[in-house]
Amino acid sequence: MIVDSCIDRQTRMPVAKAYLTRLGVALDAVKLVVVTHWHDDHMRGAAEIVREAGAARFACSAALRSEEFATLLACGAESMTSSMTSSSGIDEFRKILDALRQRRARGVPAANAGPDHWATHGQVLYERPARDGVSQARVLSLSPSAATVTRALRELGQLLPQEGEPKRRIRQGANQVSVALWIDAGYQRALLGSDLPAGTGPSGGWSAVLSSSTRPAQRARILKVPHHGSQSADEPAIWTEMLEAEPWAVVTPFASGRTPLPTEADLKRLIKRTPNAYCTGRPQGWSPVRRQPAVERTLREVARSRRTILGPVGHVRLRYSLEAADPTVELFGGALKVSA
Amino acid sequence: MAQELPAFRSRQEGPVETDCWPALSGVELGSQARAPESAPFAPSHLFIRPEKVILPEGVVTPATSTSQPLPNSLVGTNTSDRTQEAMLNVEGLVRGVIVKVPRLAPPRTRSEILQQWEGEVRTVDADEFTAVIRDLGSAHAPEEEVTLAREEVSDGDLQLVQPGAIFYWAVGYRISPGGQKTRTSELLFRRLPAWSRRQLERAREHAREFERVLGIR
Ligand SMILES: [Zn+2]
Repeated sequence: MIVDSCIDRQTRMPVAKAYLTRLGVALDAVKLVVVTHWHDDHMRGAAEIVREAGAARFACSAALRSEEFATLLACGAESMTSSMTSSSGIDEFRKILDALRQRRARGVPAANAGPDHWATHGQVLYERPARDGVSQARVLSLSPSAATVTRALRELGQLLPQEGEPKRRIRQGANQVSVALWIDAGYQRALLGSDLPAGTGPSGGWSAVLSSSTRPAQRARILKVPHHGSQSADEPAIWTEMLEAEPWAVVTPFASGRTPLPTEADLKRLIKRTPNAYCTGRPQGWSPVRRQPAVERTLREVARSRRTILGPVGHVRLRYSLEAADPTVELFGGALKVSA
Repeated sequence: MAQELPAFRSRQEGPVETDCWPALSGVELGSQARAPESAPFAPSHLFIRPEKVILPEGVVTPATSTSQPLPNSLVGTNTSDRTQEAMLNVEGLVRGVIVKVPRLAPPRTRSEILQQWEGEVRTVDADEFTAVIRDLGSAHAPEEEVTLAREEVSDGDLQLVQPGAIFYWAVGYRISPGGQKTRTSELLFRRLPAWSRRQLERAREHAREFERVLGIR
């Protein structure tokens, strides 16, 4: 399965595609593609994956199955204003729908021409029974909650442009509609936190996951730390109720925005919870391209901060047998172990 | 009757050659005819759609006729809204526009652009904003993120500083007639057209197609 997507700046290829190709795994073998939410940083190259992983089910947040989101997609097409190379999540999603439409045109049954798998809490996105000596596997979505979907629709409605309003790039909505995933394979379980926030009441975010009756009773040994390790997505109870002691935790940095994530404080908090914490890259971004001296001098005077937001691809690989052994950890690119 | 044509000017003094603004992609504003080189004024003062321009007496030299056909060659594809305003003003005038131009070429202040970007505003604060910028000189350069003070933006553009706004940023030199070089940084926000009722209706129709793929209808 492939969850979310980003692009390797050097090869311009979706990272998951490049990785599977290196392993000699054809994209045809992929069973499930999940886009956890429609933010730019989780979607680049996702349409290429959906196009090429032709046999995979496509699943996304149930909040996107709405007239509001369809209208937003159309408005995005209508307001293409910039030649910016990095397409927005909205543009990418439109390309995904094109790829799905082509699947239907080729006669692929509707069940796999989806997205018929609308992720909400407690939804089974993929299931394979144990057979031929291979253990069972199951992928479950833990969010968004029904209340969150309703709130998200209202928010999507507010993002729609109004008559007379100047055209701009469509803004991104909040992270609340993110799809957190639970993977069950053999004796191993992983919790992929997406960008799901902690949640302010029992009806949203991690609070809703924790209070849901459909939440799996077991504990996971592997965690994709939610929302790039940020404080806003930190829910202490997932460590005590959904994870084994000292789980393997992987953070993906987000070097864009006012506060690049994770911050020093975020990493300190993480390392207190588990000694097995890893990060796929440098959290603070990369030094900007050096330009000719006169330009550098002007930039130093004018820009309060400057950084390159995409560095070389970092990769934390956790591999384990389906028996209960601990995973082996391998680090590639700029990936690193978080230490105190 | 001579009519002042609001020529496109940079925030710095003196005219800016339109050739300095390439690669701003998108809309072509139609033929921007350039005055013949022989005309006794700086060509950058003219942005004219009609094919003929009758120049006022006194401006015309014996070498040019009073009904001067202008070459159709494009002077860049400048999408600056200021140019657009100028174009609209010209369109509003009768055919045979009269353009008031300086009688003599003034000593020119030149600009030399060293680096230019297209930027997109991401977040806006009380006194600063962050933007992702793309190098217009190199398609392969990585995108960068910058924080800029709002005071870098001209007063006229300040209300345009909103998330999603697109701007052009050039860093270079202004070179005085005497050869004095001053480093400059110029931000120019695009004044994108507003959503019209028709466009919104078209988007809603287009949305029906997406709804079918999404399985809503
Ligand atoms: Zn994210």
